[in-house]
Amino acid sequence: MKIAATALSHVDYLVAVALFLTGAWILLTSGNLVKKVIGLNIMETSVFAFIVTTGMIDGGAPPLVAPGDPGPFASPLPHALVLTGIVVAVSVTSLALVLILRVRAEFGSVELDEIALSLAAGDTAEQSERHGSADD
Amino acid sequence: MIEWSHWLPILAMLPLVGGALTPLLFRHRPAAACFWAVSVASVTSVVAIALLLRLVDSGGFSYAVGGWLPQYGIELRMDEVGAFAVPASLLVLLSLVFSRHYVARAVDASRVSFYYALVLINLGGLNGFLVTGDLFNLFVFMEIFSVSAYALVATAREPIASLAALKYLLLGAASSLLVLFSVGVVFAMTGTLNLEDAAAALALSSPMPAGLALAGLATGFAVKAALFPVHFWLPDAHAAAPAPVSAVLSALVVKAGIVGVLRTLELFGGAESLLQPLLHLVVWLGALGALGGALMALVQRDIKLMLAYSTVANIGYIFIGLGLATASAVSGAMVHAVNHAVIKSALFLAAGAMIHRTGLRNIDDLRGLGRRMPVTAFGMAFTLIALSGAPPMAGFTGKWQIALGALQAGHPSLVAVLVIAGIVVLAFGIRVINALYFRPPARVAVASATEAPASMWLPVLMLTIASLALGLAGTPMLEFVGPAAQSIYGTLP
Amino acid sequence: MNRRRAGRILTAVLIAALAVPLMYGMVQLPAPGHADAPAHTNVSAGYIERGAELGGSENLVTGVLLNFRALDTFGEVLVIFTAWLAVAAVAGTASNAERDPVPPSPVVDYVIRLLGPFIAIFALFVIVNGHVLPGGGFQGGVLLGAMLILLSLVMDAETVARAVSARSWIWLRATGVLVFAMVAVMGLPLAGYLFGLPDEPGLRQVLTVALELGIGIGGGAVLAGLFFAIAGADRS
Repeated sequence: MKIAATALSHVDYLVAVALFLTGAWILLTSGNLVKKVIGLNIMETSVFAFIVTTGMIDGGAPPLVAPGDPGPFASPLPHALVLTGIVVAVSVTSLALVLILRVRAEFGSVELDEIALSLAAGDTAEQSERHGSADD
Repeated sequence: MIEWSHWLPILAMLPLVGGALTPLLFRHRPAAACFWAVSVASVTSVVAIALLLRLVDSGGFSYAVGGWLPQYGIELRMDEVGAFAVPASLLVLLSLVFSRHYVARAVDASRVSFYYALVLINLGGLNGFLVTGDLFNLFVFMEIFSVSAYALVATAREPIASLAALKYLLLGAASSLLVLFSVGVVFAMTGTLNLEDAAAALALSSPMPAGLALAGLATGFAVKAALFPVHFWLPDAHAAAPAPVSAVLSALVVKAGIVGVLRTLELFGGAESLLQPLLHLVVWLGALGALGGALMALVQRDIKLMLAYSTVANIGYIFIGLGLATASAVSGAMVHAVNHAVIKSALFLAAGAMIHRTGLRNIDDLRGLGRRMPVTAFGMAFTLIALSGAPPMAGFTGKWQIALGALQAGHPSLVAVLVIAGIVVLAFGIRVINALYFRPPARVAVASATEAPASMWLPVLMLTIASLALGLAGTPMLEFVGPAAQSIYGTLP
Repeated sequence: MNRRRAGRILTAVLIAALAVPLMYGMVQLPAPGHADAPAHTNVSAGYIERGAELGGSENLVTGVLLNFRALDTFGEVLVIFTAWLAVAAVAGTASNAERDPVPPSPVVDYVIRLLGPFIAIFALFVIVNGHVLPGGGFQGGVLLGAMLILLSLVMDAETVARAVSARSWIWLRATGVLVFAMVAVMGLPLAGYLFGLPDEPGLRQVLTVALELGIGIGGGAVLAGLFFAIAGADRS
């Protein structure tokens, strides 16, 4: 009973954990680079959800403090942190997408299996080239 | 007092704003961009040295950004760990000088200004990370140097660089998330983000959620520092990057992970029951990393991959020292972080000069280069011996102190690990030296090679001299970091 | 693929092993929503009590961002500018040519062109009222960026990218960093500390709005730049 009550009062945090693990699963198991980035984004979202929830207050108003308003107000700090976090996440995601575009241009695929094949093929080509021109 | 501390935020702002201005002012003038970047890094180095002198002179000081009380605003502070900004600024300066000719060939002309901008921003992020006293600010500066580092790896033209950078990015971003998550946990538990405040509050708190934050921070920073078994992103990224970038990454960016661990230890210094199991784990992971990294380095054919694996080994040494938690081991680890930075950047720059001149990167292909590129080859040979920990050079101080600490802590087996790893390092050092000096050239590119331009050999030579000088200055360095080691861990045996 | 299957099972075990301590630790945090949790009683209480008066923004989130923790926000502006630098330094030399050959329907085209100016005005409103209403520089910047991206979808990314010269784009993208750095340095004579805003309300208001405008314009231009780079329309 007590466990259920604790879980219920912390349900927001538990959902964030579930989301975090879902993202981690996608990041770790997917062979597709774009899906890995999506997994990373799901993890990021879960952390933002968690942090913003720490600033929540039951029956509280947004922290727009007009004179004379008694509150209670949500904590402004987590909002500011998450805003910064989101900007960082956008930056990382866009860089990841551009890198994926370059990987695709160079290896012809965004699937790790196919990239590994293409790398192996490239290695043998490079080696035969080296043998062919050992005295350049 | 006030006038001095204003320079603390400038230490970070100067390279950041200077970096942002680089593509605005010098997009079509690569040579001017290089000159500008070198100037900005020089001024930053001067600021860093001035702050260090102030620190030595009258002890640590802090700065309230915006004039707010520490909890409400952001506190920056200069302490012995923050003093790492001096080697960081100087090493970036030398790498920038080295970049002048290297980058002209390795990067498209239209993108050279972006390259210099990213290196400067990387330095700014590192400096801010080193001097901040605020948990979330730590995360922000970490992201600045991380995002620029991912991009710098990918500025290399080789196809593999984009894949290596992507791998680095995915792991780096996931580890940053662990750190951010832990920041959230600490905030939920204490309601503050100031490191000192939070440390005081955490010392009184219940073990479990605090343990979560500790695990998150430790894992996140361990990935950034490439501790075994989360090191696997490092060799590809450091080998694929342009040589001056490899130098900055191996010398400084992975050390930022170490600094992150030190800050974490500071945060949990009061919660000893949590810290002890973690420190034990870190010692043995470090030992595995030291052995495994050295052995992997031994079997590499590519010289930059060899150096990258040797970084994994040295990070292992440093973590052994941090985990042993005795006064001599911890100060040894902190000193080794600086010494390894100097040695490894010399090695990467020397390797870069050789690759620049010959286009070859296999150790066997570089045979006989010692006569053709005397200064560069001498720098590489000398620093390889320094890397193995031979006295009186820079690699010795830290390893000796860590070994002493292992004996004090009652782990003689760790001394064996250190000795074996040292022998392996010496073995691959001798392999390279043998190839450079005692074998005839096998390649036309080697036989016709000439010494690299002064902008390349001069930084290598200066770092080589520094790797001897820092070895001779071992005792003052240990005395300098001693108090910091004590204050981070609370008290040390 | 047997190896992949083994990898998946191993990952599943790892994640399950992670789930237990994570959940166990999280339920021991102070429950969300309670006013007596440290997250509300410690620093936050101080912000709510005196933050509007001392920080100069009724919207406390903006006060925290631009005044109390201005260094974080400077770092944030720098991260997103760095992202654009990074993307510009890395983006493939080969253009990513396969664009959608089918033009959008006339309805979509017309509606987006019609909405464009309204989005821009709303974005400006969100930016300059960030200190009293929900919103601020980043939020308005995202709206501006979204407008440019929407227009790129119906016109052509390259046409939109060419609306402003490459040189001006770079300066626009750096607006946030430059304005922030200038205001930070002005803090030294005006407030006695770097990143400080003056106590005089009028001047503080002007600087706050200047910061928001810089962040908004810079953020919007960077977001559009990221899109152009990914769409292969960035010929800078």
